[in-house]
Parts: sequence; structure tokens; C-alpha cells
Amino acid sequence: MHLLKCDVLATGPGPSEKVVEILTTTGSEEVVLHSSALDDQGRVEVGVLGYDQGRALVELPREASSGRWRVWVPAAALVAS
Amino acid sequence: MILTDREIQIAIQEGNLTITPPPGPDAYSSTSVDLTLGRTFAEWQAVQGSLIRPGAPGFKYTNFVRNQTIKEDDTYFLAPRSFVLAWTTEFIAIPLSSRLAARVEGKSSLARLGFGVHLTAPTIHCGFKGNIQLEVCNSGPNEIILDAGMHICQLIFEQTAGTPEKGYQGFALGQTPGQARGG
Repeated sequence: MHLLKCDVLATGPGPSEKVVEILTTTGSEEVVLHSSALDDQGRVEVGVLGYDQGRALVELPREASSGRWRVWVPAAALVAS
Repeated sequence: MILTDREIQIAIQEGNLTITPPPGPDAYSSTSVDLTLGRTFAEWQAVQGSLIRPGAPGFKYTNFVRNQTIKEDDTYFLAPRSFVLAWTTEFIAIPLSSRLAARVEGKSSLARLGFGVHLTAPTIHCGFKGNIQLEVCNSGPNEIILDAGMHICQLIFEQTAGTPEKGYQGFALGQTPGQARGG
């Protein structure tokens, strides 16, 4: 898996859940996820599907508020775990 | 292909599925396992003049989450024709390598009361981990009392035909998305 920096915006609504914001190449996405999807530095686990011109297509651990599962993020923002 | 009770138990034993706390023997049926209701409930408050437009660019869940009230209790009174979010007691994890996915479904004993546990979003994807969110509706004419620990829903597991693409990251690295394929 890869890790991607994110900002924790809120706790909840469910047990051990957090709302995080992930920066994409076109804006940002909010995701409600279980805390276990974050590492001890607050980075979120994502699956990398491919790269294109300095950006990476990743699958989020859960569906974002926009309804998307897959988003483009800056490739440089990813860390292999 | 739907897993039977034996196959669900084997998947747990082999680490292809985590259910914590583990379900007792009475939680299983031939092709499903029951999960129980937790103690967390999230209510949406109606705000006059408030509009939610989830398809708009820049839509943010956090913009309207202030209209949500979280309650922790052993019982919850669900009024007729009302809606509340709840979660299972059990933490579920389905590893990407498991070749499993699941669907959360209601129980007929509750459905006949007008009680639903999800709103068109039953899929528990391969790779999921967390407590399962339930979108609980009372479509019946009477108030329903929900008790934490009650058998609230059932999980039905299905075998996938392969491993999802994100489970093949070693193959995908360095390739364009159109080329990223695993075996």
C-alpha cells in the first residue's frame, strides 16, 4: 500500500471514524474512514493504480463525499509503506 | 458464489476475514452471519431553508455535519417514518487479498415491521475495514425501540473472480493507468 498525507477535519460520526481531507490535482476530497486506515503520522492508506505525467491515480479506502473512489493526486505526495 | 456458514468460519480462521468481536455460533445462518447494533446513533436535524446539493463541485460533508447530532445509548426510539444512522458493534475487515466482498442486508423479522437497515448502499467492498454504517429507516406506523446488541442485520459474503487492481500495486507501478493490470 501507499500512504498519502491528509488533514483530519473532524472525529466521527461512527465509532473510531474520522473525516479527512485529501488534496487532489484538481481540488480536494473529503472521506469518512476508520481510524485504522491512518498511520501514526496521520497519513491515509491508498491503493496506487497508475501514474501519468507526475500524478497518480489512487483508490481511496472509502467512497468520498463526492461519490468518487478513485482520484488523481500529485505523485510526489505518495510514500510507499 | 455465496459463502456458506462453514466457509465464512474458514475465512475467519485463515485470516481472510476479521469480525471483532467474533460472532457466536447462534449468529450464523446457512449463508449469512448476523451482526449486532452498536451504541452510536447519528441524527440529522432538519434546518429550515437548508439545501444539500451533493453533485455540486466542491461539495463538502463537513459543511452540513453541524446539523448532525451524535447520541450514545443502549436504546434508541425510532419514530414512525424517521431515519437515523447507526453502526454495527462488530469491526469488519476484508483484506484485498481475500477475494471476498459482502453485502449488508436486513432481516425479515425486522423488515415486516417496516424497518430497513440500508438505503441502496449494501456493498461492503473488498479492502473494507471498520464498523458498518447502517442507514436505518422506520417505514411503519409505530415507534420502534432499538436495543444495542440486538441482531440488526446480516452479512452475506461473495467470492470475487479475482483480486482488485489496487491489490496489484507491484504490477501497476510505473505504468500508465491504461496499462496497469494484474493477473
